[in-house]
This record gives sequence, C-alpha cells and structure tokens, in this order.
Amino acid sequence: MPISGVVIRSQPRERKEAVCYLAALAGVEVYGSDAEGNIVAVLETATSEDMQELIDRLNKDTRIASVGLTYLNTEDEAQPVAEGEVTPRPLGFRGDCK
Amino acid sequence: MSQTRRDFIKMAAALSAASYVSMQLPISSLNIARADEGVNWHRGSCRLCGVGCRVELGVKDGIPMGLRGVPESRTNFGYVCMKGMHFWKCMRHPDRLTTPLYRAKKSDKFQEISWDKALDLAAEKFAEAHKAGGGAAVAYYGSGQALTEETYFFQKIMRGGLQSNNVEGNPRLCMASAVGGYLSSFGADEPIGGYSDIEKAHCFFIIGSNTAEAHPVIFRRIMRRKLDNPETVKVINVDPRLSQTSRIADLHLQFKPGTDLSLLNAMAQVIIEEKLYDEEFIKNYATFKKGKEEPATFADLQTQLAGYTPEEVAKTCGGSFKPDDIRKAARWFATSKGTVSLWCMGLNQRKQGVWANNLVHNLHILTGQLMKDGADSLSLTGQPNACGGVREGGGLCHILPGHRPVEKEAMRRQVEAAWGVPAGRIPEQPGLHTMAMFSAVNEGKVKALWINCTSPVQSLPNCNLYNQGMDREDVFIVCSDIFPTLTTQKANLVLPASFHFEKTGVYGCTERRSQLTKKAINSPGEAKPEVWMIREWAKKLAEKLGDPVIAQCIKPFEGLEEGYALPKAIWDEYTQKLTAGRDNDLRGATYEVLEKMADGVQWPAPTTEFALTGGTVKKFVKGRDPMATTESKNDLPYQFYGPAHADRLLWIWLHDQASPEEVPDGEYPFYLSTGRIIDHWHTMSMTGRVPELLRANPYSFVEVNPKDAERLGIKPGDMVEIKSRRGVNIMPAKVYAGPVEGMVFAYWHDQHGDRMINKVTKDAVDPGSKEPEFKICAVQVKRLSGPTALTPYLV
Amino acid sequence: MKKLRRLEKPGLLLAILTVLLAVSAIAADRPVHPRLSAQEMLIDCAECHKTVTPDVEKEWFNSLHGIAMVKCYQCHGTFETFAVTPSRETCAVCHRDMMKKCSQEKSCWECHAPHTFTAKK
Repeated sequence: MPISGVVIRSQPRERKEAVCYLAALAGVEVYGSDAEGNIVAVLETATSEDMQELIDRLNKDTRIASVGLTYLNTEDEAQPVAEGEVTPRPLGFRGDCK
Repeated sequence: MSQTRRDFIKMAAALSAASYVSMQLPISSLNIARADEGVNWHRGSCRLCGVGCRVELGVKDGIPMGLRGVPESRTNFGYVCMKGMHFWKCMRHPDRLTTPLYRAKKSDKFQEISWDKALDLAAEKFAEAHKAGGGAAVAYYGSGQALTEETYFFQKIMRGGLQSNNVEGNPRLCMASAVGGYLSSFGADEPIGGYSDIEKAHCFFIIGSNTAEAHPVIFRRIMRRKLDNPETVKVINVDPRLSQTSRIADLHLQFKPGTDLSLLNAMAQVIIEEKLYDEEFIKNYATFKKGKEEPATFADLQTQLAGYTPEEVAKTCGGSFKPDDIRKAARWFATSKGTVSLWCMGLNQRKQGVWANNLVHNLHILTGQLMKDGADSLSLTGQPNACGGVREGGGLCHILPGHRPVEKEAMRRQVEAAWGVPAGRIPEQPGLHTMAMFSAVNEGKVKALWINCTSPVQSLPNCNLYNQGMDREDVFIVCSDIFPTLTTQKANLVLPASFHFEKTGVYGCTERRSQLTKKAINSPGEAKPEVWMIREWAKKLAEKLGDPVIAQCIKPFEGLEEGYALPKAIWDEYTQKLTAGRDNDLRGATYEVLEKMADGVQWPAPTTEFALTGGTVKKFVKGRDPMATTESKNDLPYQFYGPAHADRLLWIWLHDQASPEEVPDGEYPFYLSTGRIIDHWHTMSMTGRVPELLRANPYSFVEVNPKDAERLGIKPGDMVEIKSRRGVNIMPAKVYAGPVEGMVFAYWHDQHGDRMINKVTKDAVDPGSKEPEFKICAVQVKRLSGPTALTPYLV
Repeated sequence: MKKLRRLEKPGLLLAILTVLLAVSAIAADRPVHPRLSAQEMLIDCAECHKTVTPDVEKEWFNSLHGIAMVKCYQCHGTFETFAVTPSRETCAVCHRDMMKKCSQEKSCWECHAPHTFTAKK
C-alpha cells in the first residue's frame, strides 16, 4: 500500500474548513496545519493509481490550492513487482510500460 | 506490510512534509529507530567492482530489505556507490534462474530438468569429451566474480581430476597485463601497498583509469585527499579521454591512443636528466633489464631514453599538451613526499599491456616511490575477486594456487601432494589462455566447456568470430549463472546459481585483502551454490570415468552442508595447504578470523594473531610484513621475496614505444576505445535489472569529440554507425569534449546486438600476458539518422 | 583544475518536459513529478534538471556529491520510489557514523544545505 507525505496549501481563512474536509476523507490523515494555510498530511491508498487519483481529487477541490508530494513509499507494491507478479506503473507514468 | 513498519513509514512521510514548511509535529525522528525492528543486518562485501567495499545487507523475514555501508571498514569507511547501494534489488528479480534447464541441440527450446539429471548430463558430456580427447578436449571458463572457494574447487577438479590446465577466466581480459607487470618488475604479483596510501599521498598519477566511474568509492578517497589539501596534493590524470576523474586533476595529459609508452619514457627521461631519481634506492634494490635474460645498466637506460625528450614525445602524443607539461608531471611525481599511481584497463587491455605496466613501475623504482607510506604503484582491479580467486586461487591456465607457475615441476608436485593425487597428474604444459580457448572452441577442439558466472558472448573482443564456435552443435556448453545472459543462450545446460549473500565465501580485492561474505538468505527456487554443483558433478564424473583420483579430489568435502561447512572446508584446504609459505600466505585468515574482522585481512598473514591485526599493509618492509623478516637475506629494510625474481631485486625495464595492433588509416580513420559508466557493471545482467541504474544509462552511447561531430554532421542523440574490419554497431551519440579529437569512445554494457561494441573491437593480444587489446582499434564513424527512440534490451 | 565540459542534452524531450512541468506547476507549487512516457523516463535526471532546475543542478554538480558522482537517484530514488526529501535512512546508507554524531532530533537538512551539503551557518 503506497504511503505518501504531502503539504496541502489552502487559503489561511479556509484552512479549518479544508482540514475538516480532509479529515473526513478515507486514506487521509492530517498531522498538523499552520497559520499560513499549510496542512501536513499522510495519504494511504491501495495502489499507486489510487494515490494518483486521490491527489488529483484533492487538487480539484476549491478549498485546496495545491498538493505537494514530499515523500512516497511503495515498498508493498515493489515486492510483488520484484517477484514478477505485477508490472510496475510508476507514479507520474503515462502510457504502457513496455 | 506489518503495522510497525507502516506506522514508521507514515511518520517518515509526515515528517518529510512537515520539514518542507518548517512545521513542528508532535513526533520526532527518535521514533524512527523502530524502522530497524525485525531487520537483521548481515555483513559482507559488495558484489560488484574490485574496490572491496564492506556492506551490510538488511534482511527481514528472509527477504532482503536494504543495504548500508560499514563505517569501520578500511576500504570504504561506510560509503557505497549507487551500484553498491542498489545491487541487492536484483536478488529477488523474477528473471532469476531457478531450475536447471537443458536442450540437446542449441536450436531446441530449453526444458526444465532435475538437478540429478542436469549434473548427470554435465558429467556424461565431460566424460565423453575426456575419453575422446583427454584434458585438451575439456575446459573451464570462470570469473573474477566467483568466490575463491569456487574457483579453487573448479580448478582442482579440472587439473587434478580431468588432467586439464584448460582453466581460464575473464580476468585474462582485464588483469593479466597487471599480473605480468608486477611479476616482471617486482618479482611478485599484486600491489606492495594499498588504499591506505591514498590518505598519505602527495601526488596521484592516474593513467588509463576513469576511477570516478569505475571505482567510485576509491575515487571519493582521492577526491577527499585532494580537496582537503588543494595546494599540497597534486593530481595528474593521463588519458586520451577527459572524464569525470579529470575534474580533480591539476594536470591532464591527453594523448593520442597508444602513445603512452613514449609518454612514460619521457617522464623517466626527465627524471634522469634532472637527476630526480633516488640513487641510493636504485643501488640497493634495483637492476636493469632489456630482456629476461638480457641485463642492462643505468647508462643503457639513459642512452635508450635519449630519444624520448619531452619535445619529441609531446609531438608523438599528438600535440595536445606542451613539453613542459611532461616535465611538470615528472617533477611532481619524483619529488612529492609520496606518489601513488593508479591505473586500470587503459594500460592493461593493450597489446603492450605488460610493457605499459612496467614503465609505470619504472618511474616508482627510479624515484624510490615505493614501500613508504603514501607511495605505491597500485593497479586497480575491475572485479571483486579477480585477485583473490583467480590470481591467487589458480584460476588461469598457467598458474596453480598460491602463485605457482604450472610449468615448474616442483610447484606441480607440491600441489599434487597437497591434494593427495599421484605425482604427474597435473599436466606440465599450461592450458589454453582465453583467446586460444575460444579459438579451440571455434575449431571444435574443445568438446565440453563449463562457463561460470560470466558472459563471454558479450565480453570477448571481436565477439562475432568467437560466438560462431559457441554455436557449434559439437561443443557442449554448461553455463552456471543467476540470470539469463547472451551466453546462457548458447548453452546446452543452464544451472541456476546462488547469488551473493545466498552462499558463503571469500572475495579478495585490489589491495591483497580477503573478506568473507556469509550466507544470509536462501536462494530462490532450486538455485544452488557452485561449490555444491562442483562436488556433485565430480562425484558423477568419477563414476563415469571410473577414476578414483577424481573421487580423491572431492573426498575431503563429502557430506558437508553447502551453505557454510563446505566452503569453509575448501577455504581451509586452500589456505592451510597451498598458501603456506607462499607470498600470499593466508593461513592466519581463517573463517573464524575473517568473521571477526570488519574488513578482512591483507596477506601475507601467516598466523591468526597477525591476521587479527588486519595483516600486511606494506609488503616487503621488515617490521610491517612478517615475511620480509622471515625471508630476510641481508640488513636492508626492504626484502623482495617474490617468487619470480631469484635475484631479489626490482627490475627497471628498457622498453621502446610500440604501436597498437591496429591504428587508423585512410579507410578506418578513427580510434575506437571502450569503457564503463558509473551506473552499470560489465554486461549489465545485474545492474540492468535495477530500475534506478537502468534508467540512468539505459543503453550504450558513443562519445564523439565536438570537432569531429561538426565535421561529420553529428548532433547529440543522432544515430551513429561505428564500423571496423570486424563488425558494426549503431548507437546514439553524445557530443562531448571527452575523447581526444580523432577518437570515439563507446560504452560496453549494452546487450543489444546493434550496440554490443565488442563486435567491433580487436582481438590482438599482448604476447606476454595474452590479454586482448580492447582499448584500441580503427573504425569508420558515420551519421545514420537523427535521434531514434530506443528500448533498453536485456536477455 | 581542469574544467570538464558538460554533456550536451537531447533538446526535444527537454522541451516537452519543460511544458509539462509548467502545466503542473500551475496546479501545485510543489508538484508531483510531471508525467513522463517510458522513453522520457530513460533520461538521466540531471539531464533535464540542468534546464528545469538549473540552480539546483549546478549546486549539486559542484558539490562533493557532484564530483564524486553521487547522482540524483541515489538520494531521491527513481519514479517508483521518489522522495523529494531523502529520509535519514537514505543518508545513513553511506553516512551511518554521522547518524551517531549528529543530532537525533533534527533532519539532516536542518544542518546540511541540500545539494551543496555545506554546513548551514
């Protein structure tokens, strides 16, 4: 299961609202926020595709100015890849792998 | 993923994000220590180059999880390069060979078979070949990556069992000239000093080596020394190509390929002309030679060198530096408080490879830049166990274990006695050297060939020619390896081998240092350690040939567990019986001692007490090298007890410039040279399977000098044809002021048929070392098209 | 010291990447990596970053890591494992002894400037 660390930016006056919205979403854990509107959160999804979708979804929300990824761990996915069970689809990847 | 690990990752993720916006979170990195929970760190050596970095493999629940350097190690002080950092990721790659594969004909498809059947077939075919043609019809072609126990055991069965000296390995392609150089100049193989000289050196003379990419962790030490002492430490880089290594150089001498013998002679000329030599040192320790049986004098050398004035030689070298640059290099070299020379394939892979090595050693002998701290003539090794396994363990056709020449009867008797096989069992003639071996394969004279842990289909020079032989249906090829390679594609029988950390054994790196790697994880599928394969194969051979002597060769190892007890017994036999009293005396370096040491033992190490101090840092120095004391013949502080010089002196050689086998002409106007890049190793069967490494350099490029590129209309990324009298390659171009004008430089790791540069290289060999001249040949260079999308290729 | 001339880069792919980065930069000021094709992923990180983040690339190139060829992916991983900020564990692969000497509370970057690795004053 991929886990990522993100800095989410909101308008300072909309921060609380954004935090509430985020806290209600599955796969999002808010770790803290500051007066400038920065929200530190950890995202956890079943697959990298889901991670991509979740980030896209957050980016589209009007209360959120941006989502910046600072950390991504996909070791769970890496293992079956290493064992040849699935083909990797890296984050940010478009098109076919081969 | 376990809960603990998931929590840890989440914390790391949150902290990473928080650090971006300087936010304080109520968790701290102290909690992160828990990441280590359940991970066991297993100490061993890096699997890749010859530096000998000590690393620890992190294993959790039997699965490799990570790798880190060992800070206490005197080779790498904890540092690893990207290849070292990532190689473990190929351990569980789905391409791993996990079952024995067989096909009767090379045109057939492989079928999975049992180990019993596989080894039975291997024994059957070797026995058949032996019955028909004796020892000459069988051959073993090994590797500087095989463990010492493996090389030693293979050659024992070949020589003692099958009465064949056809024991070779890929170190012939990379180290043989260095061996020849050390033996003929110092009387003993392998360097006198080691890496510890780097931190004490005041001048580095780097010739024919792109240390920054081929030996990154050694380069880090040189870089550190230079950058910490920018004024007092000088770096001289001598190479036809500007490389990453040149970035720390005070002086770069870029010469026309093949003219370096002149350049080295010119430095000696300056040293003599300006009286920069060490008269006392020469008087005490050196003599002069025109040929092995042809003595010479200092005056002869002076006369010979009169033709190598800096003015003359600057012209010979192509005029890209001034005569005074040679003087400057010679003065720095001679007058520094300690000079270390480092070289690699640029000198070794040459038709004059031994001579080039001799001429570097000459400079050290003339100036006394040897035996003292910070001074050494240090040949870098390309593979992790070319020194330990192949040079010391008897892995070449002309040498028996313990640096014993095959042709000396007394040496053969010692080995036969140690093995308990009848005197005369080992043939008196050396076997076929690598190029002769594959020529014999071409001619169908070798009928059964075992290739272990290497891919000659890609790594032999002029490989189109030699691959024809490997395609012959009357040559039975056994291949033991961890991944499919271009060579397994030519095999009849493919045996899945255990990888590093899946078995136990010793690697000996560049600086006479032996280090143990113990089994930490199980092999995938049915993969097995080679030592097990050899024993089981030999057992069947003994039956099929009805030869009790073969059985005698494996008798000490019967019934031992292959993960630890078997290699330990082999190591014990080799070190206790065959290195005793030899210059590579390893009796003190038992498994027990090696397990205690963070970074192994440097030989000579005759006793365990001495081995536990780390062994011999400087050979030949009384008080530092125990053998210099036991072998002492006079009151002088240095004693050269090496096996090759009965006069116990260092030899200064009178060698003239000699041209490469093939130089550019009207038809083939460019020099071609080849080499490595930092992200890949050898034929990329391992590094190509790690995404980080693959992406950084997914295929071979050819570097073209911008002036040549302009003339030829080549732009960056254009597809370029490189054609020699032997073969053709098509590669994308890098336009880069690296290679000197008139020379192109191609990377050799790519497995794709279009980009396999050894189809183009030349198979001329050094007459002494039999090492091929990979580094120089003549080619045509032509732009074919603009950039084309390419796909990385792995077998 | 002799200055090494830098590698020249394939221009076409870079142009695409620059556009991609510009687009995603509007959506996020610390964007996820722009989407790349399999072909584009086969370009050494520094080749593109020489153009898209020239200051960072230059800092790195002239740092000890740059001279010793510790390349981008060694600390930041590749696409599947990419991290903007390397973890302490990543640094510890080589600098394990520093983990004992340095503060346990701070991230490496609080004291060592990213990409130049010089001590922060």
